[in-house]
Amino acid sequence: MSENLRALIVEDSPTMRQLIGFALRRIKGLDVVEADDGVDGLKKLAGSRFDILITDINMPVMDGLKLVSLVRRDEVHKGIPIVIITTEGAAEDRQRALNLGANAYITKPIQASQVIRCVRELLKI
Amino acid sequence: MRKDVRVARRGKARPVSQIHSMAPANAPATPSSQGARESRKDELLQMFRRGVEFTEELLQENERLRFRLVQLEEENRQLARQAVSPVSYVELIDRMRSVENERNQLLDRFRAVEEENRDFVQRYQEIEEENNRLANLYVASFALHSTLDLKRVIDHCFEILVNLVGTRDLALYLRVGRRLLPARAEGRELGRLPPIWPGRGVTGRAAQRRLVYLGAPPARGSVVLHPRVCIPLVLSDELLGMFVIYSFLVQKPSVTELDQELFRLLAGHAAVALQAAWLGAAPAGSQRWDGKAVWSRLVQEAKP
Repeated sequence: MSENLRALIVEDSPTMRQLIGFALRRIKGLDVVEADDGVDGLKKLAGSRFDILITDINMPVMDGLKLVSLVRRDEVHKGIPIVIITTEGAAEDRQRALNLGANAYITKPIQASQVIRCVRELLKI
Repeated sequence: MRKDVRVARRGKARPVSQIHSMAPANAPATPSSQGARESRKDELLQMFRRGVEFTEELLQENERLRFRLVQLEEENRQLARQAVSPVSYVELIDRMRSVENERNQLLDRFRAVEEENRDFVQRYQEIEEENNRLANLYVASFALHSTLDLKRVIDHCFEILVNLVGTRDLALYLRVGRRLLPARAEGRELGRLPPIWPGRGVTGRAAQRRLVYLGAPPARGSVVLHPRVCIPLVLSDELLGMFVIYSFLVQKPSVTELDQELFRLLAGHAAVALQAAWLGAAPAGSQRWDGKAVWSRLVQEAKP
């Protein structure tokens, strides 16, 4: 039996976490884990294998951009696909996130189908 | 090839004029001429024999060609019968019509399947939209009623408006006496927001009517006086407060159907959630909603 893929959602807003979780749990064979902020996200990444990371930018303790740059320097997870979901819609914010190593950039408010499509493309499923 | 053979044989024969010149037919017979006559006779006989042979060959050739002609004529007739006989022609026309009908039927089926496919795609998109709508409403409703902590209820209301709707600047006003006072703001300085008097201005009229107000972005003038959305929070005909949205995120072009549903959900459920949280947090014996007390508490909490 093949092992399920694992996604980590890093988002300080419980409503958004729940909404993104709803969307991702519709993808068959994908397990979803949630984290409250960047630090919590790093802890969860360190303790387990993940196949994709979905993160917000504006979060307390550690923001999403810092998390992205740290993950890209991590030996184990440096190749993980990263999706940014944020309220920041300006082109320079998008470019900054992509330059740091994010693979996709989605602005809020989100459509579940958009998130599912993006994750499927990055995981090639 | 045969012509060549004939020419070759003719070439061996002596011409008639040459034969006549050798001896006239009425010359007197002499011993020497007797021999010559015999020789001429042989020559003539040989020539006639060759003529006979040649004639026979020509007759044979003629016969062979006539036979071939008959063969070809028969072949030609057969081919003509196959090609243009009325029966095969009708059959061909029928077959052509049948193939054409089949082709038209296949084209019709193809169009029907294509149409069906379009319907399925449209239906799928509708289901996706419905799913998205229900997920948003569920999450919003769940968030509103997931806590009895007043601050967290208000946090959830702001989260819904920022993350699910895409609001940039907004404020929560609470009714204190006859007016509404700003209790919390996002993207705006709380102290700079004016009070709202029911009946006065856009926000005042929305508060008085107790109906969700949707406005276009103001061409000129302050967005504080001409907000995009007002969501009065009403519980049992009592106005508890109002959310006022001044602007949306840059990537949000307009208010959608889903946004309006979320506004209606907030208008009803946020008031209930606030009242429930107040009942849990209020001093013992205080059952009624106390706008002034809630406002004071929130303003105190907002101070750095």
